[in-house]
Amino acid sequence: MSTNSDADKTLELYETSSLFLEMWVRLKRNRRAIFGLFLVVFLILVALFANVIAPYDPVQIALKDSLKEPNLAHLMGTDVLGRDIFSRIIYGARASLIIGVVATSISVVIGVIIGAFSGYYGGWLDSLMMRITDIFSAFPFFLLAIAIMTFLGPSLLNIFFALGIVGWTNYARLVRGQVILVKESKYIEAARSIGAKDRRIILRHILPNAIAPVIVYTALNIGGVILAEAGLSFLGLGVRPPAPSWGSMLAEGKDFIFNASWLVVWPGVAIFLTVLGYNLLGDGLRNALDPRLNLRRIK
Amino acid sequence: MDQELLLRVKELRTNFHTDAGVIKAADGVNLEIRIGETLGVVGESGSGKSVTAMSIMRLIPMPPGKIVSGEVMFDGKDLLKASEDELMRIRGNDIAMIFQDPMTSLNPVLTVGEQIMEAIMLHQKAGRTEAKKKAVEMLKRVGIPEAEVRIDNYPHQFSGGMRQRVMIAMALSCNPKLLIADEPTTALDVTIQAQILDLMNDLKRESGTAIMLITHDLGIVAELCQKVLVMYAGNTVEYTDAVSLFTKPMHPYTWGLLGSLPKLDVWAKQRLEPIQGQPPDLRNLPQGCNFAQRCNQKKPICEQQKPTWLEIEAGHFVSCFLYKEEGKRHD
Amino acid sequence: MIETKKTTETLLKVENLKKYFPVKKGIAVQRYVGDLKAVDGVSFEIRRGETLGLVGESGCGKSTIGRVILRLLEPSKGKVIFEGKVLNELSHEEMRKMRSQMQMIFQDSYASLNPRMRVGDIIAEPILIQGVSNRAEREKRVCKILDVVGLSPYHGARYPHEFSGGQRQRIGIARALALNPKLIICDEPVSALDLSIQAQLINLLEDLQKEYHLTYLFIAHDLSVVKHISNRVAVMYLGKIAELANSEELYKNPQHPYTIALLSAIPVPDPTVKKDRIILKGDVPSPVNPPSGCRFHTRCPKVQTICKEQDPNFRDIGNDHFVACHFI
Repeated sequence: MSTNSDADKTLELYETSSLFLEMWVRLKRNRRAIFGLFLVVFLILVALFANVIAPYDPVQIALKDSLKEPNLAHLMGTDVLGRDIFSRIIYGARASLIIGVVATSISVVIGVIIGAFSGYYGGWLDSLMMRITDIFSAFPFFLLAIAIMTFLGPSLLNIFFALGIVGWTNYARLVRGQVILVKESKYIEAARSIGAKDRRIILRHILPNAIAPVIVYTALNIGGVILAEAGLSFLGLGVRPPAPSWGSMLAEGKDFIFNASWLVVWPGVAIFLTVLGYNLLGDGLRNALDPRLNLRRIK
Repeated sequence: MDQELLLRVKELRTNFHTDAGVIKAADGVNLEIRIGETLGVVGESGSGKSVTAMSIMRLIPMPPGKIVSGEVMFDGKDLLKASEDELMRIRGNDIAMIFQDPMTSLNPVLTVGEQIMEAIMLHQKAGRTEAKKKAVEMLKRVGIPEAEVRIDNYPHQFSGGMRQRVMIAMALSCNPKLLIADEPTTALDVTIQAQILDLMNDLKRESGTAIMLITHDLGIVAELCQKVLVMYAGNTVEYTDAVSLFTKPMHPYTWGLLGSLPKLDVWAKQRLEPIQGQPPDLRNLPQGCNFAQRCNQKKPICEQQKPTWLEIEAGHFVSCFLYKEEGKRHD
Repeated sequence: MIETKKTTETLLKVENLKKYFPVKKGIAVQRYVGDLKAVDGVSFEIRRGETLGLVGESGCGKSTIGRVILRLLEPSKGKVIFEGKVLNELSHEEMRKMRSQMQMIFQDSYASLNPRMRVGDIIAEPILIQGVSNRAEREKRVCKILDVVGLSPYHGARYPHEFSGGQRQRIGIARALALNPKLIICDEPVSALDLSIQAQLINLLEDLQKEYHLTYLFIAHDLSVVKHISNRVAVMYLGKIAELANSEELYKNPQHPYTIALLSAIPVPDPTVKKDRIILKGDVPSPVNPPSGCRFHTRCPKVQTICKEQDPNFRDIGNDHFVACHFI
């Protein structure tokens, strides 16, 4: 029997529609989240249209233009090889975005599969998979990525692999917890009572109801992955030069930090805004999905 | 004004402002309770029973809630105009409340004794030893065996029925003039419910506390209450004494409720006569009577105007266009 | 009470059914400390076309019985026989196919409908699972069923949260009906609903039974509702059936002290009736360590020494009336 008071029930009757619509309605009212969303969308547009926006070829060396201060021809100045920083920042956005999305997707896919099986079937399978997860997450995230990259050598593909493989454990734990929660729902029992097979129950009934926190975590996590890529590139383990990457730009500029500060300021600002954007958006999504904040919100 | 009158609510309106619009949870509530009397408030979920009780106690969460208008005269004071300090003195002392789920209204990390004593020390300015003595006495009164030992137990060590007894002990510890009981037995099994109803009946006789009993069970109303108030979609639709509600109901909604009731003492095959349709959306109430769309006695006027709260017979108030005022207007 | 052709032919038979849940304690190392005996030796039959009511207080095991019959839970002991087939001997795949014959309506319609699925898909799902792959055919059947339960075809495009409690329960009924089952287990189908809506649903269930020759196992705690809808009624207490009889016989002539107390405890909606109420002392004991002998002896007003020592037999006292008490 429900423990809700009549007053609560009255309010519940008016809870608004589908999860995503509801999420959007609430997100809209959160200014910081909208700012985050704006940054993220801006970054995506910049990445997509990099070749249109960028005034110069980002890898074109022009030694005569070496270390120019920001001016009208080079809005953010040039680096030691005379390459246009503005163009490199814009192409760097493309690299960051691709790595962020692909590496995170790898983590999500591995994490969701392992988490879903673990949570749904339980028993020895669960124990085994969770111990594997424990082993993976026992390594410090970044050190493991460094180790993998050192072993495999720097390349875009290897970054996907390294960052993807170190990131899945949190998704697995998150999904497993959600699946265990949703598995106990009455509608899962109802699905079994009409003779649905496990595959159908997992794909059609459990995952759609377990996925909301994964979305939130993904938004929060992409920022972290982009930061990690910058870190790897800074250490020379990331995107292979001369391809532009914010991390490697920082590394190249660090020797000139006192006499040509624009070399490190612009990539730093780019990384900062990107991570800020994803974090604000992720926080906003989390608040929008928090059932405790569902109602009783003032207009 | 009637000397015996303890509580009178007139045209109370409480709204909730939500994302989806303004919910008119109480939309013109009228009721009165005399000293020592038990009033049953019946109605379906969303009819505004609990909101009325919370408005009387001024416990509506604001925002999103807002008491828009009306008057709540308790013991000669308008509670809607009272200061927060005055309300603090009244709540728990003059008006006490018990809820459907005693587990959520008891603090799980304090012993039940501490919780009862807290109320006594706060409102009666009693010392610790005195309060403890009173608490044990209250627990004994509500039929908790080995009260001296049980007083040091935590809420989870009690069963559902026993927890409700503890809540009742706590509510009655300050001898309130009015006890508001919101579905006190709904979460309990029939045999345990019978125990609690029996207890409430005894306590009522001994203490003379007036009770506002919110319930959806017409059986409980018939057994415990002298007066009944029927609510529908935020309105009070009928108010009368318990016997005439069952023998001479006047409002079509009350007819519908009684027709929906499966009867235990009828042996012939019966078919229930439910009210068709569903309650209206409280965000979007009709222009006329809130019940009009489901009413089988509907007249054109019902969809155009709100019926007024009229005393059709002495002590029998109805809000329906089927009736013309026969006595004097209630004022 | 229903006017369908009631036969004495058995549709479902339950023999000495037991369902124990192991109880574990401890935080780091889980230690087995005993069994929660939710259902502890229950036998009854459901006849084709009838409604068998199953009443009892919370924790008496009535909902567990429904789930064990459908094999949503595996029984610890005993047999469930449906049309001569022993269900618990079937393989998972055979059982999955049998599910079209027996369906369930759940108490909490909101929790039992997947919030991410449209109502039309929810009702179509059983039809799809049991092998109708033609989409148009499925949609036709969904529309028909929506109409049968009193909803409109356009409701199929909406999500469960857009409906009121009563409408959601109609959706639950529609899903159960989709496969033309023979038996429907109704687990407290109306107890969460308001009185006027409850009455609509009870009438609907009665109409459907007549039209589709359904057999119901109606599980509820509300004795008035059970009396209204059932042909026969079984009263459960702590995992066992205390009394089972024809509905009228049970309510007019209850034999078991528990049934008598239970009936006397119901508040009667008539202020002119003053009844002698038997107030049972204390609470229902825990099913983890149920009392020895007769389960009811700790609260029984007529308790004797034998009640504490011997478990009474569940026996026929004539007129199709079964009681488990030493003194009947």
